[in-house]
Amino acid sequence: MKTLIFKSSLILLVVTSSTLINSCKKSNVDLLPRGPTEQSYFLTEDDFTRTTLGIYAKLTDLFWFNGGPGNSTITPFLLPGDDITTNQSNEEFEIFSNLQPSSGRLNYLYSRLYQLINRAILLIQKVDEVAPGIYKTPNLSKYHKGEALFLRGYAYYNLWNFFGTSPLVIKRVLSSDEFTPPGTTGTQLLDQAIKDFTEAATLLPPTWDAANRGRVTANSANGMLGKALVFRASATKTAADYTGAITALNKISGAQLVANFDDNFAWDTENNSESLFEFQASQAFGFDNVWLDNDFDNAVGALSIYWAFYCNCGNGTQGRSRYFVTPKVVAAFNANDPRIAGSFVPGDRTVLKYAKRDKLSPSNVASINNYRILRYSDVLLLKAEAVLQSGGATADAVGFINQVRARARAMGAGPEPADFSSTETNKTTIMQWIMDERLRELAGEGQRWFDVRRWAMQGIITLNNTFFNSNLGTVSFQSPKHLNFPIPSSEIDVNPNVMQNTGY
Amino acid sequence: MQYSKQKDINYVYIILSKIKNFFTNCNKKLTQKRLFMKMSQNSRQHPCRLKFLLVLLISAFANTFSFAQTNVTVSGKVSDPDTKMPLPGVSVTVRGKATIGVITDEKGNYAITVPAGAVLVFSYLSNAPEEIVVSKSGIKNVLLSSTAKSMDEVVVIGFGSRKKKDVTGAISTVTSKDIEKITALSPELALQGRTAGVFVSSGGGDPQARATVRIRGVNTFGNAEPLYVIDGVPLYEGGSGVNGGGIGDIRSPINIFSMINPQDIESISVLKDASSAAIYGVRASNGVILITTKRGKSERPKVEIASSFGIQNIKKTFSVLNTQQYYAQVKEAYNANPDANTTFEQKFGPRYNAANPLYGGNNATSGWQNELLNKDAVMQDVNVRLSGGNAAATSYYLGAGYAKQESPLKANNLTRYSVVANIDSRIGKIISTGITMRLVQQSALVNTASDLPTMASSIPFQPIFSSTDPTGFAPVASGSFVPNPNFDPSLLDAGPAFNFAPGDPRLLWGDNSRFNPFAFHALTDNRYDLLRALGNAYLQIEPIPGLRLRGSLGIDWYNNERKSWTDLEQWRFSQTAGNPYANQNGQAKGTYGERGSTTTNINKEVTLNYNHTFFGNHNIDILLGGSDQFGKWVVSDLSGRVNFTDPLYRGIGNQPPFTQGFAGVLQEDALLGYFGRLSYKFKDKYYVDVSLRQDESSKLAPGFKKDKFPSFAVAWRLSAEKFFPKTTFINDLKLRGGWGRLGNVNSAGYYKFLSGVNFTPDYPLGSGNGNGTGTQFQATRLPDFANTTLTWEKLRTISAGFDAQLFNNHVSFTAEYYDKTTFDIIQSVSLPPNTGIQNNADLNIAQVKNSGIELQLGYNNKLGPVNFNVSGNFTTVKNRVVKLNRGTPIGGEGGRIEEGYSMFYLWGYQVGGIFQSQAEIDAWRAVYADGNIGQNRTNATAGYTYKPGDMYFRDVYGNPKNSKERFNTTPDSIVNNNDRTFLGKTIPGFYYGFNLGADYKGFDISVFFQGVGDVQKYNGVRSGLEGMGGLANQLSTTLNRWTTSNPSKTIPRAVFNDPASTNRFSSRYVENASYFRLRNLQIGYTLPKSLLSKTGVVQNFRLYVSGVNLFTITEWTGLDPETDGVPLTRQFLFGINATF
Repeated sequence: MKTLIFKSSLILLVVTSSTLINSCKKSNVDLLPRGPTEQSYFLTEDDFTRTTLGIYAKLTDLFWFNGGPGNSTITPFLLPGDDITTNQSNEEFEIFSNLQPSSGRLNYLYSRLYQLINRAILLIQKVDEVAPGIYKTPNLSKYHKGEALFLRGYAYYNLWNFFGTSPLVIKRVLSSDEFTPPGTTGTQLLDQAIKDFTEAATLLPPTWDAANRGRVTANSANGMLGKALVFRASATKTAADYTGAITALNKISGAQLVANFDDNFAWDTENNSESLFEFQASQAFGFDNVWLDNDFDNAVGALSIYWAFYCNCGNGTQGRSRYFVTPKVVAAFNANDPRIAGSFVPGDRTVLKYAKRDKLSPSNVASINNYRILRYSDVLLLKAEAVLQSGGATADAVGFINQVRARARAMGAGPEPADFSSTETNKTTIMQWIMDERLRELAGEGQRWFDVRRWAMQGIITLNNTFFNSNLGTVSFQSPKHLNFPIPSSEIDVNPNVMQNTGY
Repeated sequence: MQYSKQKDINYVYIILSKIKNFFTNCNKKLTQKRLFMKMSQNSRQHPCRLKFLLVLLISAFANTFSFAQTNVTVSGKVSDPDTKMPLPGVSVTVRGKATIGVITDEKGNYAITVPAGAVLVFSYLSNAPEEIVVSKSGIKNVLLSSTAKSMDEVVVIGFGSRKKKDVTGAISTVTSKDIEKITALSPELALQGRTAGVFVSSGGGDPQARATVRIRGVNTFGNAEPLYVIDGVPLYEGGSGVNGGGIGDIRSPINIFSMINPQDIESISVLKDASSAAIYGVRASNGVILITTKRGKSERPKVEIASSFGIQNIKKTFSVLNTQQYYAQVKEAYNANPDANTTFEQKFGPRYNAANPLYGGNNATSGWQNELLNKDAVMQDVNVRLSGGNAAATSYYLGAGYAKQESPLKANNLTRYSVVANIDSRIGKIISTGITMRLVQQSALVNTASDLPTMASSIPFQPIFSSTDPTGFAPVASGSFVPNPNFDPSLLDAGPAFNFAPGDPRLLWGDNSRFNPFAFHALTDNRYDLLRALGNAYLQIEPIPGLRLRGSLGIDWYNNERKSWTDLEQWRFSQTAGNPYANQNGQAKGTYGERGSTTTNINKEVTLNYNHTFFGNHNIDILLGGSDQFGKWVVSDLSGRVNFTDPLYRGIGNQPPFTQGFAGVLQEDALLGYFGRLSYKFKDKYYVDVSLRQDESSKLAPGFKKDKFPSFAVAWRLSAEKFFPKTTFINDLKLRGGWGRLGNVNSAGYYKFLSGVNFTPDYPLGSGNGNGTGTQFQATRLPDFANTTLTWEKLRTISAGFDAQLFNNHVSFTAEYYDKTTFDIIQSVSLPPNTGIQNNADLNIAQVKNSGIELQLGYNNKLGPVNFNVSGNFTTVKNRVVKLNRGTPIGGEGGRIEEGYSMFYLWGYQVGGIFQSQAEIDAWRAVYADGNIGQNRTNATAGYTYKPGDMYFRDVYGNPKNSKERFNTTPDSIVNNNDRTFLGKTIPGFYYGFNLGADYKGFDISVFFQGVGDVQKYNGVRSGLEGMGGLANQLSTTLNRWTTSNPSKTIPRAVFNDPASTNRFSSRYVENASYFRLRNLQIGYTLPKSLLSKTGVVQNFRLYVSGVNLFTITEWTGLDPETDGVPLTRQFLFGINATF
């Protein structure tokens, strides 16, 4: 017994001391993660494709349920304009006065847009540095870079429209010295969007095959470029931007208005010929868990979009008021306009866009119905505005509006909405037609706040409490304070180089 | 004193009559001595039994001689039985004859001439004196028990042990005597209130809850957990320090320290400063807690049984509104701020419409909280221990324990089985070896679906039970299903087999219907099974006296298996019912998942120790060593749909897509350290300790992995100086001080110097032409900021103090000042959003200082037949953030970190008051505007218009003038974000504990108080249940809300949706969280030895009753200042301790 203990003890000592001596080799403390790192990734073009799709995936965060109807960042897109209203008292995006830097939705929206930018910047860097031979498919590296630039441009377009002055980041942050860049002024953010869309348009393919439907194309880039230029023109009153917009919008080829207006908001007619850029809403193969974000997991992370404020369906709004079109929208339509049937119920002002032909995900909360971010009728109306404002032929401008009205008319095969007179030359009148047509055509599509904001900057409309035509009597809009939403506290509290927007 | 076994039992009968008188006398006397001697029941033979044997032995010698009254000369050596070191300065006297006495010399030798048959009393400092009877001249070597008090108490230090008088660093100790009194299943709680400098916050009454242990303040915002070392094995826990979130979820809520049976612990040493802890280098900056378990002693086999049984109850619940009060308030609140065009009845539906048959206002009030309580929750603990052996050969300690503790809330309990075997063996003179094996199986039911604050908010009219529902519980949602025409089980993306019928599901109790946790208890099952094997084997070779070479191999392995079942029917009891048929074939009855997480920790150590005394007075103790630790945390998770509800049939089949899971390594750590310590002492007067450790960690980038951690400490025992007056006033006095540097790498995440690739985002492509979903593609993201210059957190400690024995050793007193500064604190920082970097980055960003004093006082004395003792400790903490990266504060309102303030301070608005009249509003608005609610100073109509009863907030600061400022100290009449200010500190400014004990004739009592002070907390429950902004039920304090007839100055009027933003983070909900608690009151009775001796088997038998948390004095308005979720319970226990 004793010898056994003795022997085994000696073995123990030998084991411990020898392994300790072995430990002197550096390798023991040089552990590496059990997964790829940046250094070991980007070896095949598939790695690049996945990283590109990762940028798109971030779009999900902008429109998803986010664990609660009060958290969804689809609200700041839908609600601030004069097209949509709510009964929800104190709703910050309706009454403005309580919109604060601490707003959870603003903080979320802001951070997600910059995360999207970060993903795009990384992909652009990796494509620029890619070693020869990794890409096998011709032009794919160009397309990837184009997609990244486009999506970054879209993020900056949104940042400018919501916040106006947040920082501009176009290089990867590799050192802690770069954590606190200064804010921007004027249209710097929009300038970057324009730059990105411009370059993307030269890189992106004209179309993708059916399996890749939903990825952005040259048409998407030219469309957003034209739109961003019209926006900048509104803000800075630069005529050259209007002509630039016309040039860009003219490059769009193959897009056309679909015969049925309602197809633009239906789950079964996504990515149609009128659509230039959509958020691809869907459901994860496991379950659409609307409490877990897209980044959480492939099986259950949200891929869906939250339309319950419109559809008032499923588990819905959970006690929060649904949204309605404003009386202003109802009044803007000729009663015989066939678009009404797909847009709202005139009596109780229920929104029908996206809700009429909606499909919920298994969560019973959110939907798979794609959000159309840019469609061709928007492009036509932008063209009309650019032509008009740049001093082009008024008849051309009116013609573009009439194309939109003609499609609507054809649905009802009736006389309404009738063409506007192509002989009208009063710019103010035509501009009013354009603004009214945008309200009718795009009501409830998350475009209106951006439009009224830029027109207010341009000075052709005045925003005040009554303008918003709200269900709530407590709207307290202050101009120009509310034209830029506050820079969120998550940035302001930690980045001393960013100044808060005036008035907050 | 130790004796070899008594062999010749015949002597018993011969001698018995001669010694009877002496023996009975001893019995009484020694019972009285119990509390002085700090004898743990297991560690020594009972002194009376010793005495008995002693007398036998002496008599055996004496028997051949006559008992003539002649003088005899006795000499010998007195040494310590544990260290084998001779004991100089032991006084040897004759009982009853104070004039005769000598003192042992420096080699422990003595010689004395006394009358034959005299009783020699050996006493040393405040040790338990030992007595022997001498009847003839000769050599009597004596081992003087080391179960000594105070200065000669042996303290476990890093890689060794030392007498307290020789200790130079800051070390606090708790011994089994106190540990055995705790009723918690986890040993950390034994430290609460018993050790200066150690702050312990219990996790509440939940038996799974983890305690928070912080030593001398809080050093870091990162991982501030101390290092635990059990019998030489530094523990490693996967996900350490993380609660909640993905990692926290996998780490599970189970406190793994509950897998160490406190009953097996001999002592816990807390190393508090660098000079004591530097030997643990990089892991030691938050302090080191050394747990030493019980080992066999050289004695005859001893069996001990310790058993207790008790019940616990939560002392109070929240007082909330009843149905009628609730309706009145909700209606009042809504009418104060209604939605446009919507009446109260329209807004909230039929349950809130008095005219509707479904109206709930006439329903009885449901006792949600009361129903959740598990009244008289059972606590049970049984331990059996066997120990014995021979120090020269093999000694052993074997133990087995069973413990069960029910949570004070339903559907939660913890059961533990533990076995332990500690065996030490000597082989010849130079080799000793030993092994510790600890095996623990633990089952935890963690199925409590709610907590008291949530239950308090449940709407009072919603019923809990239903006689018509098969489950017996009242459903929350209803709905019917229709087959899904698109369901195609042949596809990977099969879709749900059924969908809710249009308009379903419906909430049955209005928009604010609350889930029914009691139905969840019936329909879900979440339990954890843990198995832990912790073992350590060592071999020690002592080729020449004083030189020891020791190698050890420690393995700690534990597996934590979660099993969770959710019945398909659960959706009916959920307030957010999802389609239960999603992702299943339409036949499954529920979902079952298993998640296993396994932590492996392998620790190898080699140490070389040399202790030598030369030239008589110079003693050196050299330690050299190396340690190599590897830790790994592996997780696997599987879940799937199950076609049966029978628990026997729960398993996971391979049925894609209905089965999902992941598996893999979550964490791996490697740590390689080399260390050395040189201790020098001169004549037990002057002490110097120098140590150095070099550590290298896998967590840091190449080039930054390695660092060195030195320490230096000195001590001076003034009382050993010749010039020091020999008084009974000061018996011993030691001054000590130390400086050192420690490291912490646990705050750093894994591979934070690398940029990882993550595959969890996804995006669908290809929808259109009737296909709405398209095809989902896995995408990638790179969410990290790779910090390639991440370096160690370094802690510099300075401490100085003194230890004193006063008043004939009746008083022991320690006072110490400490000052610690942590440099390069690693913070997992959420980067400014503009960076777009999703994952937190680990940055070295800050410097924090903790300083304070610690006092520890002990007093024991005798008042007639009553022995009593008092001990107490008091610690102050001043925590200051010294420097932050670019001075930028981090953290939000609930825990802000800013230069010049205590860490995690509360930051928010200060309440100005409640407007009592329109005149007050007008006066305030004439000067101020609250930007948070859209007001501005120039336009009186902008933003929210105050009404009487609204709360307003103070304008403290102004807007920053430039980008360098965060705010301007001149108020600007606008209340906005810049006006958030200091509201309270969450790190207690001081904490203390004290213990009173007494015994009299077999009865003993101990009373233990504990408290913390100078601390504030944000009352999150009150902010949720006093805001009156929604449909949740509210605390009954809201009955005192402002109305025109009740002009409250503390609670504003009820307004739906809170348009005045009165519920913002403000001083409204900040409360004093100080408390003073009677933690433990124990009364015991030890049966008299005279009674026990008749049994011939039972050596010792003690019964006790214990009351825990009998009262708490606090201003905190919640359930308990430590936690409101599952508050601490009041416990009553009955127990026995028996030795055979």
